[in-house]
Amino acid sequence: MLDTTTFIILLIQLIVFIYFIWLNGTYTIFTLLSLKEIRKYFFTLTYHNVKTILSSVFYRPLSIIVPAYNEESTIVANLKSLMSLKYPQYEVILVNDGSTDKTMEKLIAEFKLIEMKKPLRLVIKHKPIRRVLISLDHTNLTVIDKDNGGKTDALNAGINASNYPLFCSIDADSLLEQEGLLRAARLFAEDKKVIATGGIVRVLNGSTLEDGIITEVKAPKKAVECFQAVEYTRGFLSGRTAWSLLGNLLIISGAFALFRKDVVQAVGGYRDTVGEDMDLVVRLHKHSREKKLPYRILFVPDPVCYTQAPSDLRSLLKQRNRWHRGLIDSLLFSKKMFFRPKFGSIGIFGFPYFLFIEALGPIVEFLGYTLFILFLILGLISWEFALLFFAIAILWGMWINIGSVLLDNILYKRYGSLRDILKLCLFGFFELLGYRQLITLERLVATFGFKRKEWGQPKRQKIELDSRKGAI
Amino acid sequence: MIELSGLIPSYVLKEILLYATLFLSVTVLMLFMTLVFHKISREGKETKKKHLKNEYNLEINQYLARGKSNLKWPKTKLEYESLGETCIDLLLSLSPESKNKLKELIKVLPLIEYYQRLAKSSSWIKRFYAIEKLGFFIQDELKDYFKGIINKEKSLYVKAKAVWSLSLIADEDALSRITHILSSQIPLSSKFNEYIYTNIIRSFKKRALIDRFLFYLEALTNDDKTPLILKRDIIEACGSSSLQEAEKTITHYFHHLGSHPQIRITCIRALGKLKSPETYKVVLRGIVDEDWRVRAVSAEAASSCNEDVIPHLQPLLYDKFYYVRINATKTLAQFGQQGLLVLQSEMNSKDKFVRDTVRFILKK
Repeated sequence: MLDTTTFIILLIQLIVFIYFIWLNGTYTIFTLLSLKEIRKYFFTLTYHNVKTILSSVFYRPLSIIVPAYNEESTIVANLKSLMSLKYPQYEVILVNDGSTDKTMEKLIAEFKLIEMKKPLRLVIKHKPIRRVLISLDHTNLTVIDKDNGGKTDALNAGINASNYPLFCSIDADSLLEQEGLLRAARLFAEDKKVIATGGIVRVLNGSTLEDGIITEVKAPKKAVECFQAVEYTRGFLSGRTAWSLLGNLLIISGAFALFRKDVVQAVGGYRDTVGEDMDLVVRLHKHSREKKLPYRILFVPDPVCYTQAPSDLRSLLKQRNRWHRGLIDSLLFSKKMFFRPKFGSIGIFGFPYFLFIEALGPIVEFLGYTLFILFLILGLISWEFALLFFAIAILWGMWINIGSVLLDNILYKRYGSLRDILKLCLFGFFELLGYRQLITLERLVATFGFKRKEWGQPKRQKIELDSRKGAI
Repeated sequence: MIELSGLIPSYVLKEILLYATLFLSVTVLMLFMTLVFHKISREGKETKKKHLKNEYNLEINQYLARGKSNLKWPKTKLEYESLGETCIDLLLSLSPESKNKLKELIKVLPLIEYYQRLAKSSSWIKRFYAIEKLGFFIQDELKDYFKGIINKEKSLYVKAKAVWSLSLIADEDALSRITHILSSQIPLSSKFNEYIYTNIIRSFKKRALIDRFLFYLEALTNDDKTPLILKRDIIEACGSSSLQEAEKTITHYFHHLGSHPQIRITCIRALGKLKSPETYKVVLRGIVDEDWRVRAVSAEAASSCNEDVIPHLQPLLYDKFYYVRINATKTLAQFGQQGLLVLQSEMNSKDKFVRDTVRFILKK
């Protein structure tokens, strides 16, 4: 018989081991699945196909909603980029969520905004609107200036002000590729069951811009940004593509997401939470399954949105803390989906994965690291075994990271030089030696403080537009 | 090794870990080498393709201008792909006259055979890709080929692509074939249907066969095998394609299938787009319709009627539904002085929404 201490140690070992295999195994399988899926996608949506859509009736008009709070350094470039998108019929609704900096002044001056008394249909509740402005230069631009109520409140106001049946939410620090919207919205015209889609989000830092349009994609300069570039590549290319293929996509990044307005209104719009993007998608799944409505929520691996990743460690940790709190809050709010066959594969497979691997992962990972060191010190693990296990962990992580970079290179070809690709591989290796542990620690802190609701404002880099050319 | 229970002997575990390490080391190295090799070879291929496309572009343009060129026949896959893409690029941008010349040239080039060979692939993705390329070539001679694909093909994706390709060169036979397929075998979105029928209308216009299209459309009114939704999508396509000749047929649909709100909405919208004299009559009926969606569309379509409609629009400013009110206000603003006078008279309305909407529209 095993004594209690030995049993506990054995049990913890087993949990950590299962977690390790489950996490890495899932990503390995997902990388292979994604390769097949993305190849299919690229063959079936050619450049010529997109070109003909632009001149045909095969689209649905949409509204782009941009919530902005103290975004004076990026807002003009972002809006300019949005106004130059290739899409037959769209409007942009920028919601200034009570900014205290010069966001409004910059917008008024740059886009020649004038105040209008536009009546809005209050389907979803939000904080009072101070004024509505429209642009004299761009007839499809509306700016809503409202009291501060947070990102979700701003998005809800944007939904009420929108005129079209689809809406796209995009972060104020993100830039879309010119045909990105068309590629993502195409699915709504193709399949009536589609209620939400999201595209791939990449790190903008390091790239070159001209008039708000990305002209050259490069690997970021700072180490902290490079680590994130690797993470984004892995997370979006391998992770979300495969989740979408399995019909279990629980997250669509708030940086770039498209929704059918009527369905979002039916679930009451965005809920006041720090992980509003995931929360909305989970609730859409829940609503559609409960009402037995045919629906599809898809990830489109092609439309690319570039986002400014935090360039300092403090902002990054704040962001990850918020993401993790948002994840836990969303899962708790929709907890009745957990292991319920009524919710299909989402309840049986997707939801438990996000709970055990994503939400509780930091606890298991932290336990793993701590016990590993402790056992080593106590002599319960031999150095030989420790080194072998460590090597496997690093190599497997490397395999997944290089696999994602390879996927990116095969399909997207966005990075121009070999140097950038090698740089990402290098950071894919170093990510596992300190960066990952740091992020795990922050997520662990967030796990125990998930009830906090503050967002925190990350430090933004100014997008230079004065010289018409700039770099981030 | 941790000495716990002896569940797995340490030497076995060590061996497993050792093999796993070795396996992972080799695969990581292989992945890395593939990545570097792929990046370098891809760059080379892209440069070569760009060069080839420039060359083909130049030669084809010379052929179109002078009727002569030194166009080399493609031999490799890359050359075929480059030539194919160049031709499609040009077909999408040239004038109709040059387009016809290029279509004749494509018949002589070995491109069609190349893509037809590719369309026999066991992978549906490759078949899909090849059928799309063949569709872009807009060759009348491929009609039977596409019909054959529609009959034999098992993949719905490829079948839908063949329907699209056929729609670009559709004649009467193809039209009934496509309607049959869309009614029974490929339940796609309304937008897709509308897209397909706008292609068909374009093709019929080119062949001066619009009368035949309308005759077919009229005969379809009472055809039970064709779903109502598809009929609606065809009417929508008539409006989107500004098919003036369809005015009577659309009115016929409005009267015969008007018991369905979806048909009423589509007919009113299509007639509005055509700016047809018939619009006035159907708009007057639509304005008092029990379904608010019909009223909303009628309020919008009224902009293509004459000023007589203005008094009928004014009550819609007080409709129960927001969209009806907004559309009526916008339409009134388009009627010049007379419409503006009506709006100005509502500027001090007791209804706050009417007041705000009118003020907003007038200011805009």
